[in-house]
Amino acid sequence: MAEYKIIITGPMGAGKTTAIEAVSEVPVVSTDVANTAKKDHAKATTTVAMDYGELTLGGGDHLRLYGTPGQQRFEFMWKILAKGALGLIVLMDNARPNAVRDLDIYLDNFAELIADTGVVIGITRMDVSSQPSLEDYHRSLRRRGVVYPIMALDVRKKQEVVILLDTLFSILEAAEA
Amino acid sequence: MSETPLLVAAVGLSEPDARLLTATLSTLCIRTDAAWKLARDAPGEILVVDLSHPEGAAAFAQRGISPDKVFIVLGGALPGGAPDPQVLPLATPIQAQDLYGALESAAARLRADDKAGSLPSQPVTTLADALYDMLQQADRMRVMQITDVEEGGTIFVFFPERIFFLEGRLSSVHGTERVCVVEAPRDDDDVAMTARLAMAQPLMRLLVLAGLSNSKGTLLPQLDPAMAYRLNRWPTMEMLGAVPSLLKVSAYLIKRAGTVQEMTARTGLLPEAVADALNACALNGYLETVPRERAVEQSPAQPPVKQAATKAKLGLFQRIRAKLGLATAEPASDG
Repeated sequence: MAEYKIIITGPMGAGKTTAIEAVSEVPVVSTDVANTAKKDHAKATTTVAMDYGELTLGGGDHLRLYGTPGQQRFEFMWKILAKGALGLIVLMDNARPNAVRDLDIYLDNFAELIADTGVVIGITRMDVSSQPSLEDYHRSLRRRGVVYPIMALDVRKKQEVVILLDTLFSILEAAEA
Repeated sequence: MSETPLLVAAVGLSEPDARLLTATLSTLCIRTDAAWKLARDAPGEILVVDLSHPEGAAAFAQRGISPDKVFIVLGGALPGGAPDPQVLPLATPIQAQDLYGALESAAARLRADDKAGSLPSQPVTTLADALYDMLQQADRMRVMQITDVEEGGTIFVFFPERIFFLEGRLSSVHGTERVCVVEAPRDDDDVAMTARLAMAQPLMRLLVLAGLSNSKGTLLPQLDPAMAYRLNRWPTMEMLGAVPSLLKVSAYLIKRAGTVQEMTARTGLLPEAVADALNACALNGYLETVPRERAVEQSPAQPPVKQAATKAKLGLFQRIRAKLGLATAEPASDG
């Protein structure tokens, strides 16, 4: 019986919980409480520990999907959750004021996990705000000297979340080659 | 700008159409490398004629005595038979962008006929080479105008959006061999260009039409199979959808540099599939070469113990994909 995990991180409201709900075989277990940081985001609730979803793989094996709390004051949880993860998904809310700069926070905090495994970046809510563009994110990565997959998606659509996961698996497979 | 203006005469046009023509010529003066002028007292080289007006019909009927002129025709039925290279039909009511395109096509035909050239000659190249060259500097904000010197059709390619608008007749994009390329600055106040931008399509479709992205396994002549390449940007979803091997090759190349041979060995893809993927990346300026020594350092061979763990992990990903309903190339293993 083996346990595998993938971490989904990103700022509050980026769609982490929704993305997990899209693919999880079980109802997502969430640790949401009332959001007292309404100045940062108008959401009614926010995750304070993690979101949890899973896929059963047969033979008693499971793939566990962990969504990290989005607020930076919970970043101590990020390192705990990242231990032993297969890979990382970063979801960025394109409607946030400094979305490109926000990406740096997550790439910095998860640098070790990214170096050991791989990362895919999903940009959400581009229907709400088309700027910054995907090219802006790519430029930011070039300044960091790295190349990661970046794609726009609607996390409410299962197929788009599946494509995001498939891309991550391709990255992880290539790392093993 | 050319010293000799290109003279355009209006025959039988209504007042609104004549005003539109004047405005379009002003736009052309700003946007192209030629001086455009409305001919008032001198005969024009390009005649815009309205066949529904007696004067327009009369001018058109006498086109045979002026084989060196080009006629842009509106407002009536053209005689049947083979297309006349001297004639460019224009639908009514006239749209600004259609008139703009027709005038440019007419100028291109005159340039093709006139060896001395009242317009400065542009280097003639193939469509494939023109697209490849401009894609190497795709981040700059600009408009590239590709004109088929034989058929007179025009493609506008917009950067950095990587979209294109096809205007006039490019009889077969795939077979377009002789084109000239002009760079134009971006102007958000240009009505015609704004209209083209609104109707533009993703550039990848043009590359597919031109037979470049799916190159049938032949590496572009600009790429060296002995060189090591690395990706400098993840491909777009459009590209990934157009070239089946691109996901695997891109995933490989963002971690390390590799030659065609190395990528074939490590990804399990056929060399032709690897070539297609590299071509697609190169055409979009996403590929960079890496010195051979640095490429070797980045790709050490795996020890046997790690190989076993690798095989297990690859089996895991197949199982997860199967669970998510994704098609897998190999049957899922128990890892």
